[in-house]
Amino acid sequence: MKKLLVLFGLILIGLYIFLSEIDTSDYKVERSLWRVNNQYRKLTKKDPKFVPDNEFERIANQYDEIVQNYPKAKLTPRIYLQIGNVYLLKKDFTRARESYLKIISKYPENQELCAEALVGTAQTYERENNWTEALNIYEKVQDEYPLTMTGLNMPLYIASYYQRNGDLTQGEKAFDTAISYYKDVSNRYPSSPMEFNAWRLLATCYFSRKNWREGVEVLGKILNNYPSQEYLNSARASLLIKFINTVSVTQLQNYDIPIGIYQEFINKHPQHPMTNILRQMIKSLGELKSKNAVTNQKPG
Amino acid sequence: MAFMDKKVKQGHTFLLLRQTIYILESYQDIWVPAIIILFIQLLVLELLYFAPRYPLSTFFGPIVQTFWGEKYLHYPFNLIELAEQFQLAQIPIYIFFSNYLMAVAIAVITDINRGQKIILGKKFIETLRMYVSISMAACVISVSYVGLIKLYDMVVQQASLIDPQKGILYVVKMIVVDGAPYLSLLIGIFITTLFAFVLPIIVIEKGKFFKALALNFRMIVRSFWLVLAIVILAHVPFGTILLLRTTIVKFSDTVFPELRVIILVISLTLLIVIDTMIYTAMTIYYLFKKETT
Repeated sequence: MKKLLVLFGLILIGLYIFLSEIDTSDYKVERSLWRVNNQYRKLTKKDPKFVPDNEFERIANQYDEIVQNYPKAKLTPRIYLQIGNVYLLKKDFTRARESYLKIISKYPENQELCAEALVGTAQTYERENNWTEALNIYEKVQDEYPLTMTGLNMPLYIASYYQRNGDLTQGEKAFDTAISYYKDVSNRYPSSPMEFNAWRLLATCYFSRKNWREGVEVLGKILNNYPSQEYLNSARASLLIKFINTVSVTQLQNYDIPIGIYQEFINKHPQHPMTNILRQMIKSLGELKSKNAVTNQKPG
Repeated sequence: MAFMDKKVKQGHTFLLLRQTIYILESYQDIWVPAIIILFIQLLVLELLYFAPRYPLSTFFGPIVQTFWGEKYLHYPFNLIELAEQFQLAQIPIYIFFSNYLMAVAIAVITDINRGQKIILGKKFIETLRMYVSISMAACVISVSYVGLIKLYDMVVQQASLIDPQKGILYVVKMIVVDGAPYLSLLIGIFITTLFAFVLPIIVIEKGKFFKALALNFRMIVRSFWLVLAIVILAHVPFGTILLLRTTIVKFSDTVFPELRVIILVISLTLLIVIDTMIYTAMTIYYLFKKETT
């Protein structure tokens, strides 16, 4: 029996070592990266003022080690971004900018990554309270990488910045610019992921300005024109419907808008798995509407 | 025969358990089929562990992607789903290999009882003649277990719809929903008890499956509490592993995801020991009953 145990043990261990050695996938990179990312996530939860400098250095060095060990792995370009983020967190803006700019020189063909690297650079200026320089870079991202998600987010980000900092005039101007930008993108790229994302950001712009009706209408367009799982998985769909209902009922006190949106969906996509839920929703909204009408009619 | 000198009276659970342990310590050949089962299980687990990695990913990658999603081809999500994937793989292992190998162990115990010399190779070949009945038994046991688990899943789904946040219904909901791993273990114990004698009867009587099933139920009716006590006692160590699994696992996912795999390996090893103990006890008890009636 002992011989059998030893034999089986050797086979299992031998197989483990063999399969580990011949593995040329990114799995080892993922594993190493996950551990370092965990440490980075813990770091982001602490106040950087109370974190010793060598803690940041240790994590940056670990990221650097992965890059050195696996220079050709698919995940390696993103690791440079993480190194920049570590220095950004540490408020070592010079080194953060160096890391971000390294990405643009090493991976110019990776549009999304380059856009994120530039945004990282802009954030270093923003945190140095140099909004002018930061704005220049954000606008550069929007102009040079318009078809990336990062580039598409820029008009909304800029408008939100002004809103967060209480600059109402600039904020209004920026939201106007963002709204026309997103409308323009949706016109130029109909029935595409670009239009879908532009509409999402357009809805966010409207809600940030408390333009409730326009926001709900855009959400209705998203629901009706992008019903497939690729765009509207069950989690997203639930959130969308919840939002339409909440805004329509609480802000607009209008039950007909969501009922109209859902009826249009049912007419357009009668076989869609969501139609039964939406029929229930129409019924519930109708009942709420009647209840509300009765309550409003009651004297006193 | 040493273990048949002490008479096992009805209800003497601890005496039966003590004799089972004595036999397992004295006759190591009984463990050989169990070790082979464990080896097959660990081999399959190892292959599933490496499934998202080259070169196995060329075969397993599309399967994992289709049934679980792209996410589960990457670390650490592949480890989180490993237990579920292994459970699925366990079904054919159990039907085609584990039950047969357990039957070989039972054949060895039968030979020990008869005072015959144990020739393991011969036992493997002899037991192969009953392979069809053994596999049918495995199918029926698997279907019964899976059926009860599915029924339990339906109960859990209904329970999760219970609205109250307090009161007796809430307590029931918490027991049903949060106690899932423990209730699944109880289902396993119940199924093991219900079919405890099928395999020993097939091997000892060299009989067909349906006859063995009928005789099994007759034995269970007469000795239900003894069998249940043996099965529960044998599973006590596994209960502690289950407790460890449910408490530590959530913490390990953020710190050391490989802990899931380590706990799975320990669980498999423990379950093999438990199964061997149960089948040995049932075989001894059946042989005793056969000789005294």
